[in-house]
Amino acid sequence: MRPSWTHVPLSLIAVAALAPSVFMVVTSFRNLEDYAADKVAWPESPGLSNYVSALVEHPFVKWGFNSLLLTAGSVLLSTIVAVLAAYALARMRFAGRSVILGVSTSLMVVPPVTMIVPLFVLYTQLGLINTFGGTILIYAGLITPFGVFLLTTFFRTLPDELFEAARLDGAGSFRILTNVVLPLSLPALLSLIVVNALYVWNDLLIAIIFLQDDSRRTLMAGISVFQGRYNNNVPLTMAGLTLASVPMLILYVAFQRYFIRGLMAGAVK
Amino acid sequence: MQGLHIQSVSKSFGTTNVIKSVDLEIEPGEFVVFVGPSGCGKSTLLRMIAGLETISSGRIDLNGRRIDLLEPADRRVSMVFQTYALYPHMNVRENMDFGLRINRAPKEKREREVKEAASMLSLSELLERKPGALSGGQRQRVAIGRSIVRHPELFLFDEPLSNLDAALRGKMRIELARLQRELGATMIYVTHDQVEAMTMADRIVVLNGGRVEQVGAPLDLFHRPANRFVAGFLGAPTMNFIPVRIEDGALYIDGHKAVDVSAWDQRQVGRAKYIGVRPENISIDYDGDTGMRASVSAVERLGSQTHVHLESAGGHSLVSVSQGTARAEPGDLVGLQLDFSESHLFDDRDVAIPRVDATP
Repeated sequence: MRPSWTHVPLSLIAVAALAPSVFMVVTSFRNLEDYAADKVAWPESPGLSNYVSALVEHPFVKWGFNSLLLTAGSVLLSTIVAVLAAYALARMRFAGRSVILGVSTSLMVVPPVTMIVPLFVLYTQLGLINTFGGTILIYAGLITPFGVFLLTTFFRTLPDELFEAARLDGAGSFRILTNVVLPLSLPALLSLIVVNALYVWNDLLIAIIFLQDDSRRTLMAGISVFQGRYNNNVPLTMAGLTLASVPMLILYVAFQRYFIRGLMAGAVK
Repeated sequence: MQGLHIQSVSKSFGTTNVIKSVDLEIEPGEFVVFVGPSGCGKSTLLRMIAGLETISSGRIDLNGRRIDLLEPADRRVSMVFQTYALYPHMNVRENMDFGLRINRAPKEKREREVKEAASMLSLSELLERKPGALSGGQRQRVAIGRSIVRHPELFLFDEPLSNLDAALRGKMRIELARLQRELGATMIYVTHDQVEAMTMADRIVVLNGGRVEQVGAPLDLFHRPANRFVAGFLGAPTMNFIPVRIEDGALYIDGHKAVDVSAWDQRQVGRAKYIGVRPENISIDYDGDTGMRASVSAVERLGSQTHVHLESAGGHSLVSVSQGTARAEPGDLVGLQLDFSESHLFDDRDVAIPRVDATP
């Protein structure tokens, strides 16, 4: 056992990290008058009125569906592209391989903000503003470089003999990818999906600029307009945010059991 | 033309030649062992036969088909890797029938093949287990089973036992030899372990620096090595090499006449530069002062044998092996008796000079 005093700073850090979430959930159960009187307090008469309001009076469900569509579409597209690219970069020999990986990886450091204006001009000309397809393309483009980088690194750690054994068994490149590489890469793949889904789900910048039509708002964009339009109703906003956190929480908990080590045990040696 | 025919096969990585024009014929049903030190090209040659490495020149035929241009899966060969290379996410059954599933073999055939191979390898109880839940020896048997179900025309083994502990290695050696007899299969087995080579092989191929040094039955190679490399590689401890001088039909070591040279080919014996004597053919005379003089530099007692390391009066390092526990101690001055009836002469190019008398 470590001495208990090391738990003190760790506990402080944990409290600091969890405090905003606790504030969000607690405040979502308070009414506006209580909140106006005292910003930080436990609910006196906890109620679900904010949730009802968010779900019934505001197009919350619609926004949630939009967010879900964008997240699923862009994560799916990006994952497919990243898996195929990473497999080729990690396992096939061809001219320009390291250049492609280098360029792809360097794209990770370009801040999305710098691309907004040129993309907006381009999308206006192409008529892609306010389309889900166009926005999915942008998101997928932004998150793919990280996926290629992560998966290339992971695929390279798989032992060569597994690929050779599969080749001798008669498996082609695509079969090796689907039957050997992907099952063994589940931890990396699911981590990647969670990280990317979080990014797209929580993004405000692109959603607010490229999906301006009210019927195409995402959750985050919708919640942000709560404040302007409804006199800064913080408890309502917190109820919206709590609802918005639920799908990502479910995603994380569902995949958590795959984030285990040792899936490679028994492959070699 | 049945069997495996390797003709003038070479392999280079850039300007480095790792396999230098190898010719080799392997008969159907033969168990051939490639042996040699690390980096001699034995694994590369095996991988070239499997199709995991391309060949730079030459050709390879298996049972009358040219295979060096075919994909690995089309060559009808199977390979067992040193690291087993089992698919960790599949259970034993799935590992064994993966190749059959890819080739769309009917379910009954797959089940039959897996069942047969599993019973041959005592794996029947383990079919639903994942590789992670198996011991090293069991994993190795699954890897062998995966080869068997495909009914290849040629089995390739790349140091399959080197990850196992000594006791299991000895057991698997015998099991593999039994399996080869039962299947009547043609097998090529790569190892750096000369005990595996000597005990399992019908024929041994000794490789060094990408070249075949000698091919032959284990005891032929042991008793009639073609050159100094083969003589030194087979046998443990390694053969002693002592510089010699030939004069007036006699062989001189350190200026002393040791033996007459009538046992060797008289036309070539004049070129002799070294004599090779195996450690078991050097006996130590603790009291006598006959023969070569030497001092004991180290003693290794193994129980059933004793290895005595010696420094001869002429400054040569020698090893003698005697049965049981020898009484030698470091620093002892002793006399050495060399048994020349089992010795070998080598010329300045390290090529053996043939003996004309009958050796076993």
